[in-house]
Amino acid sequence: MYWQDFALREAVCLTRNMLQPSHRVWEKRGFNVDGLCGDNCRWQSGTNKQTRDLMKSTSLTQLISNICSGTYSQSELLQFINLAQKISLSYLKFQELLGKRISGERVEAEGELDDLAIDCIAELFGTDGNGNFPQLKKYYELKIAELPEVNDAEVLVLTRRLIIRKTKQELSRIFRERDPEGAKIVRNIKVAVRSCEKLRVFRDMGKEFVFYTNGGNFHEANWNGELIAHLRKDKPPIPEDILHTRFLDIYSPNDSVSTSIKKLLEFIYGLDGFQNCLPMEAIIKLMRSIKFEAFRERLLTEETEATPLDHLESKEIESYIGVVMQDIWDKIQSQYIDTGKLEETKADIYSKALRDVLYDLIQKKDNSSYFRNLKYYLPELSQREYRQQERSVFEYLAKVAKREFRKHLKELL
Amino acid sequence: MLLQEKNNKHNLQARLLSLIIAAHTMTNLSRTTRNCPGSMQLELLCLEEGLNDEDRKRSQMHLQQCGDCRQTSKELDTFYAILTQEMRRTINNSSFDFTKRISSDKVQSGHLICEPLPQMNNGHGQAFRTKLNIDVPRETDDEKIDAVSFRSLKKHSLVIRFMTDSVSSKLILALWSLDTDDFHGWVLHIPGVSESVRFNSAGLAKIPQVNLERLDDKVIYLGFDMVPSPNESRLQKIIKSMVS
Repeated sequence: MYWQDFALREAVCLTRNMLQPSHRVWEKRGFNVDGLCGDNCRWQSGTNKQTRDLMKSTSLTQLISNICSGTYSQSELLQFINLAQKISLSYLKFQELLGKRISGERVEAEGELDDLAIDCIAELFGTDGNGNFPQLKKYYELKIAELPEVNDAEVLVLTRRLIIRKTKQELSRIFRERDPEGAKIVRNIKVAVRSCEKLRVFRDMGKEFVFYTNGGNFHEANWNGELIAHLRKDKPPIPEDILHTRFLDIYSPNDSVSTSIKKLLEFIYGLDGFQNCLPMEAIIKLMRSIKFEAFRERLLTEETEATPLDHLESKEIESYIGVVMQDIWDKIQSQYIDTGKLEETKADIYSKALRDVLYDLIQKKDNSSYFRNLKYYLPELSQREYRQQERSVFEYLAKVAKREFRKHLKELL
Repeated sequence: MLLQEKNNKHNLQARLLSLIIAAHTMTNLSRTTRNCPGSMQLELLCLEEGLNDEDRKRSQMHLQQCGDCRQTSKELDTFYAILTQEMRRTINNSSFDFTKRISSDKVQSGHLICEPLPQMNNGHGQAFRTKLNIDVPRETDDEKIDAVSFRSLKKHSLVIRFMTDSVSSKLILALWSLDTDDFHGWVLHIPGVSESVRFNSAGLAKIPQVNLERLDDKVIYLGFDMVPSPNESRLQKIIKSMVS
């Protein structure tokens, strides 16, 4: 019997020495690492099962140890995913409690947060194909190694930190995808604060606020009397409509977002009747609305203002009017003046009026009419006289002119 | 006269300099004497476990003096209060579904729809008749438990979701109901299959592995046996709700 015991102990020692360094982290802490050597190690597998049965009922630390070493049961995996999802969900609910809108448009906000929480943590459970979770393993082993001793409370704290960090990352990604413009404004605000010595950020009730220091030393943003006085916390926050109107006064579309934010906060600093700080979300809302208005105005302006290209195009079109009118004049000369059907003065008036018809055409004048064009040069002309004396020749020439003009425009196209 | 003015100016500068040095020293002193506990210590305080008496008292004393730590502690406390509450709620379908999705193909899962049979209620509790639904092997990752169809169940019906656990040769059960999401003290009895089994507050329990077909069209009993909770720390409450 003695040699058998000896051989068994030898085998255990040998196996322990073969364990990977990462497994020793757990072993040093007094947790069961048996069963990590594969199926060949029958003795260890048996011990592992016994030990796990003893410990799994209470120990979060043992649960994490099993998850990291890949020796978890299905029940343990479910328990850990449940814990991780509930931590993420609690964080999302905490953020909603602070007034942040996390859930979207779905009617069942509760179910949406449940799904969002699982989406946020899913990536942590990426496996290596053998049921191991490399990300979890790396995180816990590094963190556990830093602690002198480890208990359930500390493991829960480490788990909370991991899950919340991941949830924040994923939330940021999800919101960036959901609202790229908003994410860009947030980034710009942060850049503005970093690059301007007179802007500072502080957190209160889970919200981020930005304020103008005016050169004051509020680097640590401690809640001391000086800072409270500087922020004018005894005064009401600036109402949204006043903020919007005042910002419109100082906003210039040529300013960068950083400059606009600096101008805005400097301006608020000067308003003694209100708090000297703005919540980040208010700045985002304001910037978004102003940028939207500026964009809309630009679109409207673009519709009426001609570009240099438009100008060139107009010049070219006008030159065709000259070409067409020369042809028309030749026609008038040969068919009407030379034959005595039309006096030269009347022919000249027709020519001028026809030129106007073509101009009306390129200027898209809806109220253009042959009668009005001719009447401009013959102010005494009545509708009746026009119909009886002018209409047939003038409108025939107008149709010819338009047809010729259309031909030239087709060439231009 | 000029010399006196110059001396006065020097004195003033010296006094200003000494004041600046004193202020700087005071700031450093206040930082070192403030001696804020680490964030881990604040969290352990919120979990009501993991700190010895001395550390706990010291941290509590510190919170009375330090606004920053008080604020951090307040936020952590709110978070853990929400978490404790959430952990008492039944495991949700997203988590159950996700666990199935990342598990090996050997894991079998499904659910039992349990419709009430009031005429058969007895000493074991309320009677329900089961209808077995075994999940087919998944084709895509997008398949999810159909929570909507769960919501269209008959009044007072229950769902017992299940999943096999080959390591412990057990069947994991998770209760789901429209009427409640706290199953603390609920006891399940499946005649001929298992002894009475108690669910934890998250609605999780385990029974020995059985042939799943034996669970179909079966009368089961769900009773209620509330065991008064001892005075537990927040950490113990969380862990207790977690493990089955």
